[in-house]
Amino acid sequence: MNGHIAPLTHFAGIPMTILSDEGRVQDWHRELVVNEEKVPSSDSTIRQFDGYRDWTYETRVLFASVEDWQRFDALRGTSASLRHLASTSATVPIASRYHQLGDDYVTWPNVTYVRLVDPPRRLRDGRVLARVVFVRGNA
Amino acid sequence: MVATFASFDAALAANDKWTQRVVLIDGKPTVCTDVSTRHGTDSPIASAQLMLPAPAPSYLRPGATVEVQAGYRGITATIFSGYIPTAESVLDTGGGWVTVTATGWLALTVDPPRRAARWRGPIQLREIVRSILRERKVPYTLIDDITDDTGAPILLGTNEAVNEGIVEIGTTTGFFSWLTQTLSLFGYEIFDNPDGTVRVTRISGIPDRAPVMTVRQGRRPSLSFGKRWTTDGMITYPDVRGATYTDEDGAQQQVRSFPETVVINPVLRPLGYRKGDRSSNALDTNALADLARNHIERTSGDLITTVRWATELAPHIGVGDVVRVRSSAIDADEDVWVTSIAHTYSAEALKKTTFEGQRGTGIARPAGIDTKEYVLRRSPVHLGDEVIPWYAVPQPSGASIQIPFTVPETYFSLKIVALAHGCNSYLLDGENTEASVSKIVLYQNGEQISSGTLQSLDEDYAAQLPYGDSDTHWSRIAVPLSGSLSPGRAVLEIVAGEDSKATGGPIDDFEIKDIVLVASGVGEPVYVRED
Repeated sequence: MNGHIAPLTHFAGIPMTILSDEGRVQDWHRELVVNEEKVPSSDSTIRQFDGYRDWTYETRVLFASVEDWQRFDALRGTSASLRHLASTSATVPIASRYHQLGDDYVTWPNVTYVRLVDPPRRLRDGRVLARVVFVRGNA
Repeated sequence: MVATFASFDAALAANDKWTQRVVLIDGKPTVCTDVSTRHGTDSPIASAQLMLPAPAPSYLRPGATVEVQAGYRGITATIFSGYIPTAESVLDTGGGWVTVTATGWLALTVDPPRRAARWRGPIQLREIVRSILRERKVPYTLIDDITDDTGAPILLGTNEAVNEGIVEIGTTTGFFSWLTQTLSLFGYEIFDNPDGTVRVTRISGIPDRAPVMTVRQGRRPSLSFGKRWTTDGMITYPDVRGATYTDEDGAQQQVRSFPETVVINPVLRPLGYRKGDRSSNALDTNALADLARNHIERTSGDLITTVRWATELAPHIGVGDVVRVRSSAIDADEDVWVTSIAHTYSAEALKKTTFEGQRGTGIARPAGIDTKEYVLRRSPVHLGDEVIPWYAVPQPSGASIQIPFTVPETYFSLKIVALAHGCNSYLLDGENTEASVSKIVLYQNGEQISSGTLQSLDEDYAAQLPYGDSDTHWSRIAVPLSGSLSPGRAVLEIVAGEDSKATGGPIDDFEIKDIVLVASGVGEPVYVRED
């Protein structure tokens, strides 16, 4: 297991720790919506850009107890605020960051916990490790 | 840096571009996942379908206005304007959706008038169209001049014999159907245009305007081409009929136009031609019927060819515009009228416009003659019982003559026209006195079919006018032939009646000549072969 990143991160008030993956912390990203079609009888392709899909954040998270995990997982498909370290993200606007106990944090409202990637792992000490996906709109 | 475009031509010429779209419902920007619109002359009232995520916004209500603007970064255009009659909400495994159906402004004209609408003729057709659209409060209109081939405005209500020159739309006829039917007679179409206007413009024959766009095979923004030709719908013998009315002689007449010649075309098996009947009471003169027939000849006189093509979203093209289509694959290199436009704007697909276009390659032909005159007798005949020296034929031929004639195979009405003098008039106390004893009687197969009294023409006995010298003192008389006459032989009898009050003799003396049977509705084209 990789290192403990920050102590004050949570989703919907349920404390959790965001973990790195082999030393690499995941970040929010969003894909450009591209629609394209070839012009018949030519080498040309018409490409239309139609904005961006929603911001997505897939990461490993660690919960202090089974109770915290179960409270969290009951919120699948629910929107709430997500707080995480800002210093590990390249996409967080500077103005949205705030400093607390030596670290920069950001809180995103209306973040949806959409998916559990793999089954959760319960560790011997009672903590729970999971890989989850959050989504937030473009606003 | 994201490219912005100053024109649609520039945007469509570029490989990569950002699309833009705004949907306004009652003026409020509204999130929609999919938008599709349809405009065209085949369904003149435009429609739009909008897909919204459920639940519906509070301002979505029946009658709410809808405007959709779409385009590319830097340039957008309205692709739909109208209002909402229908919305449907659905929740299923795919999620919750609201499907909104909006309709173009021309739908405001569908209902008939509350009271019959009347216009005193002669009146320009354009004025009638304009007043209907104004009465129905259509917000945006663009009405071209509505003219004949010479550029003269098309007038309705010019024939006083038809409904006293009044153009009328009754309470059972929707304005929309009257507008579409009447305008299409003359090659004009009324339709909702993507830019939100209700447009009236001419779409007839070969396009005579400069193309607003050229789509070429293998070049942006073309995405597909198609062409279809068919003999279905071809008409090489248009027979256009208009209003019926009573002419100055009291005979029923019908406005009609048919071509003088019909060219035999071997593609139209088995006859080599195809007749098409069209009728409208709005056609109150033969000149208007000729215009309507010429439009059919231009549009439907040759193979009906429809060209289809698709491009990426082209919001700047309107129905009635001219587009040049060039594709060797479908053998198209021609200017066509745009007759249909469908925009599709889906989140997960290329934003596209699908077009349909046509051009009429037929030839307008001269009109045939619908009235025929059959001369029954040229020379004068004197009916009566007196020898009258100043008559063209002083000696009377008796009290009646019979003239056999042939009733044509088809006809609309028949009348007898002649020159006469002195009939149904005699001298009483030195004054011309009217009578009603002399008549025309029709027989067929030995039975009397009908009879009609000859007009009363002053005897002027004392004046001793020289009837044999010229036609100067003769008068034109006309007697409509009523009753049902079958094609074939018939007999016309002209009878000089008796009146006991007459002083010269009891039988009415008069002369009649140049007796002509005038048959209307009998015209047929001449069928010709062209090398």
